Amino acid sequence: MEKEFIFPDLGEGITEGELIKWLVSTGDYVNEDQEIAEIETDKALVSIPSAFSGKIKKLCYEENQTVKVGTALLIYETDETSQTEDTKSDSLKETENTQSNREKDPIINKKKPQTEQSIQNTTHLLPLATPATRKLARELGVDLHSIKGSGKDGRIIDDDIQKAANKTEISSEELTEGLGSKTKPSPSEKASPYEAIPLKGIRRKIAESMQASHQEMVMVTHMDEARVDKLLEIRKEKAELAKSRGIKLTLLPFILKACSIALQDHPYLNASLQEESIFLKKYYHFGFAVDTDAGLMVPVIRDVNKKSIFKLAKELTELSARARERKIDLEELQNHTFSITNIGSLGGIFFTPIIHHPDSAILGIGRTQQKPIVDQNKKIVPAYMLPLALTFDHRIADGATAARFVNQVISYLEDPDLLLLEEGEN
Amino acid sequence: MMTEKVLQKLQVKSLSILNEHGEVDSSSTIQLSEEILKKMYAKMLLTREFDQRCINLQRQGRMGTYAAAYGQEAIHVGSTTAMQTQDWLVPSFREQGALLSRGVNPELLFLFFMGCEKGNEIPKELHTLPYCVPCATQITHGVGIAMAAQYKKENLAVVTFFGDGASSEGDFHEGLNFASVYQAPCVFICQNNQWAISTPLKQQMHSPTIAQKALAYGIEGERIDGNDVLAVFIATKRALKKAYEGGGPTLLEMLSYRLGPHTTSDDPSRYREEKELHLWKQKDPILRFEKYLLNKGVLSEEEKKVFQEKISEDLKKHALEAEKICQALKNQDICEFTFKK
Amino acid sequence: MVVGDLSESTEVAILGGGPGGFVAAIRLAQLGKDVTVISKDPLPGGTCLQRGCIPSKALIEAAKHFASIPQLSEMGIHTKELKIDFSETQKWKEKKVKQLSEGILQLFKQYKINFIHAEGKFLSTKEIEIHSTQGLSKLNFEHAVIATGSQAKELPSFPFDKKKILSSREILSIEKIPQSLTIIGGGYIGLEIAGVFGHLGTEVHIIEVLPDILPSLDKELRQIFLRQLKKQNISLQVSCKPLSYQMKQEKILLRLQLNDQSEQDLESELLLVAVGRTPVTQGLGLENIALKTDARGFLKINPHCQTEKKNIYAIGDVAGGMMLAHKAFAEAKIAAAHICGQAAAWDQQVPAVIFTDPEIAYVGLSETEAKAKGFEVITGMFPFAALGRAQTMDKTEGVIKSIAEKNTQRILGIQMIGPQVSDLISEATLAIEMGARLEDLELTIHPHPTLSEAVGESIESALGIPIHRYQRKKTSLTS
Repeated sequence: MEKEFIFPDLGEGITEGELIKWLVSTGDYVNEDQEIAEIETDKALVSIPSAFSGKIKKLCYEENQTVKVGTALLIYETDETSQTEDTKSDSLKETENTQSNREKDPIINKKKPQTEQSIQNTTHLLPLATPATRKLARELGVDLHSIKGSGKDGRIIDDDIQKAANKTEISSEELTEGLGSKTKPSPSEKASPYEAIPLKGIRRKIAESMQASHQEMVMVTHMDEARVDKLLEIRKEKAELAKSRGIKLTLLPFILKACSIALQDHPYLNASLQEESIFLKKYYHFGFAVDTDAGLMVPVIRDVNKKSIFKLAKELTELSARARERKIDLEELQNHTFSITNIGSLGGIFFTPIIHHPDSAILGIGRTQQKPIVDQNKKIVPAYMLPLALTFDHRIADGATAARFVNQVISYLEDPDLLLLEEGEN
Repeated sequence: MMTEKVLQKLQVKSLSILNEHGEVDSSSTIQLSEEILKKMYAKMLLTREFDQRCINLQRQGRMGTYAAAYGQEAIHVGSTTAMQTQDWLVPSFREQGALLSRGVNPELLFLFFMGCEKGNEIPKELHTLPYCVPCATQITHGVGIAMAAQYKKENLAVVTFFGDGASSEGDFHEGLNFASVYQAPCVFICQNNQWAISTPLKQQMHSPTIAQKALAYGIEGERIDGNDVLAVFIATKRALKKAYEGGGPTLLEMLSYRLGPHTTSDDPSRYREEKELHLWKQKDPILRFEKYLLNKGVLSEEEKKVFQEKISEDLKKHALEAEKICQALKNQDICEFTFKK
Repeated sequence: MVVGDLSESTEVAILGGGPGGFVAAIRLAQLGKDVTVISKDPLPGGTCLQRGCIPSKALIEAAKHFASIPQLSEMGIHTKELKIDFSETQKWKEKKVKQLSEGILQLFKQYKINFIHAEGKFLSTKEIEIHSTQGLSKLNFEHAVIATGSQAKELPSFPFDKKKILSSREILSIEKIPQSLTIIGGGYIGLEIAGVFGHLGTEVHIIEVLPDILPSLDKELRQIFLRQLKKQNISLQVSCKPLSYQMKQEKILLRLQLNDQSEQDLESELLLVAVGRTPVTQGLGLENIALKTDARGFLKINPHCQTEKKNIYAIGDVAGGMMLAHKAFAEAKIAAAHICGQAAAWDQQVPAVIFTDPEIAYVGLSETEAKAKGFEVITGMFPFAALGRAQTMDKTEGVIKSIAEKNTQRILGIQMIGPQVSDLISEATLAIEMGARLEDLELTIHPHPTLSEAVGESIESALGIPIHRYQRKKTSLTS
């Protein structure tokens, strides 16, 4: 029998709560009063005990989602209908098989009406599937009883499980897409031609944020190069000193610093457009892109203009480490005004970064490499060139603004002494 | 010339018998039959299990807001065991242990918390008032009953419960003042669980004890180890005896700790330290009494298990029964039980 | 870890080093967990290895060899003097047991599993108190697995005295072959031990309260077995209740009540009480973690082998069900995988094997059970007597019976009695797990000449087409 657990009003007049953690998963068998989830309301963080015993058929919400009071939190398959009488003698039971002790498990003893007569009886047994297929079903959270196998007599094969799993995951998309002449895999195909990964967690956040930027903004990318021979020398000189303070010195903190100063002269690149107003921000919080196992994360360094190069270097290291370990607080990802993304460590020269919503610009950094250039004396000399790609929102700023800003950044990077002279708040 | 004299030297006593290791103070001469000891234990277990059941029911959306007595079971059971049938119990809103101990059917309590007025229909002969949720108002009700008994020359006393927060309310002053003026047969039990919702005791009063507030009214005040069911029992017994004999009211400050949240709508982890909680968990009233009984040989591990199982099962049944009644009475009962026809 | 330290911690604590405990330990270690096994026995292996499956199989093997020697004369093999030194047999058995337990200990070392010879008691759902000869210590854990097994059930009117009234544990270590032995209980333990001493020349009596033994076996197979018992000097009294006993010199005199309420005395040298096994949960501190057992003392588990406390699992005998080592193995693997976050749950068939002579094995449903569940069935049966290999081994007693659903031909169960069927049952188990149809097995080549051919032939018999046996069209043997 199917039963819904309705999320109750946990306080006095609470209308919703945030699902912090599931303590159970689909397919689990839970007992009455066993704790199933942790939910935080305006008033308290509480554990929810199950109201009845049964196998979990579906978890209706994901972690971190908001649960509305009065909606189903999860759906059970309870054992209320499948109570079997106990007529066997004691010694018989003892030698009898384990199934009797586990009769609660609906996998083994389930009476569900089937349309075809021939397979009706087999519902007393395991579903017609091999052990490996049954395992796949457990892993993908597919209830073997809920699907009809495509094989003879309803035999369930891996493909059936995959399809059932994909279906539950993409059904909502299918609804919203509607129009699409979607090519569905024909049922005769043996192996699934694609793997459907549900869009959730960080991936979902990235997708939403990127889409917001792309839909709202008019993005243009301006590209240039900075000759960083001098900067590299300074870095080399000061590497020991930095090391003694436990700091790994890279070019990035210099670039951060250069941008923070240049932005003060170009406020439209440290801005956002919201509700018909351009907000020019008087603070300089920079997001910087970190590649983590879970996907792109953009921790934020606050008040870049007020911090020393060393301090910036240190924070960069710490924040990116915590981002990779997923130990970062939500607050540390919010409230940015400008961003920097550095693809250089992986290779690549110029690219077109997408602005971190709702900022007005992002600076992309490519790989520094030695190139032949023509110097002031019209001689071809080798030089270390740092590629810069600034994407800006053309609604807020113009090409000239971007070019001037990048020029200023380049001037700082090429002549780091200027950084010293210019430092300080306007 | 200025004349200064000491008019009165006042003192506040304290009492404890059973320490947290379950050892009884050798100077105590407590004599209770094994049967009574066992009953007290079972009632304490019942209180705790009742709380747990209610919390689960609330979390499952089957019950309204609930205030658990987790950690305060000894106060409820010790004091009510000392009472006689003719005495009146005037509870606040956290005294399920006291009500159950007086013989109120768990089903009624479940009904009350499920929002069914029928839950307040406590049999008259139990001399127990229904819950009183507004803070401290029941103190004056209790004094009123005591004064009425005095007037009618009935040989009984009233035990009224309230918390540390309530001792900062006006009703507390009015109640104690009247009771002391008229020497009403009343025992005031203050459950000092050290938290008035999220306000700690220290931010609520400057006096180091609540017991000393009695001195201002010229009555006796005593601080009792509220996690020691034997001390609670003895202290209440003495105060009742005094009341029967015309000795007037007594204020008993039962020092304990609220191990759980204020109610199911509260999250104490937001305002109090885990350390403090841990410290008080060591002083759990049930654990120490259990150790005492096991050592004394009054209780065996098996019996304990049987108690627990039986209580848990019974409560589950009562709760289901109450749910059924609730369903059947849906919305009809407000008028039914509130107005006299 | 060092016992005696104030508090140690481990990722998974396992109580019990038997088939459940040691398999869980190894699997968990393979999955990268830090594991501590707390065992009351000084060596791992549990009842199965120390005083159950393994020692009994050693004695059964020795006894079978001994009994077969006179039968060899037909093959032209003659021996002059037939003699058995049972104390030597016991020594050989002990050696095998020791070798195997040390093998497990060695595996523990290789997998870096901590093994502690001590008693463990739960203090909370996070802490175990360890009581060993070196004193008390505490062990913190994230997950725990209770695998404390079972012990022989005692009958109040026949308390074990370890001299005359024995449990299976003691009888497997006796030094002298008794002249007569009475066994209360016709379950698999009673039957296996009856077989050992029957072969060694002891006069064996089995007393069973119920009207029949081996209830999961279809009656054709049961009858074959009962015939064999008789041949082996073993008498079986069903519907017979043991009332009391008294000692009479060196003998034990048993008072029995028969089906017709009449009473009768039975005298024998030794009495074995084998009426089942009870789970071991005493002293585990279950009360401290608020874990309750069911009416028969077993721990309740869900299909993931989890108890009501989410981080505590129970496996093997203590969790009830079929009390067989391989059931414990399977549960151990499920618990281990589930602890490591894998989607593991119980959904398997447990094959039963009984090491009598001839052996008995079955898996899935019997014909009786299948019909009771409403299946329309077809069955096939094949006798070992018709099989070349069985003839050349001179082991011709027994049959294999296959039960399938008529419409789909899906195999529902296979039952066997005969030589080495304990090995043959695995093919049947695989067939059922794979949801095989009769044809799947019929089209699988069985090598010749082997005993496994009997499986194929019994399947063919269900299809009405066995090769080594004449079968009239469309009539299966039993319907």
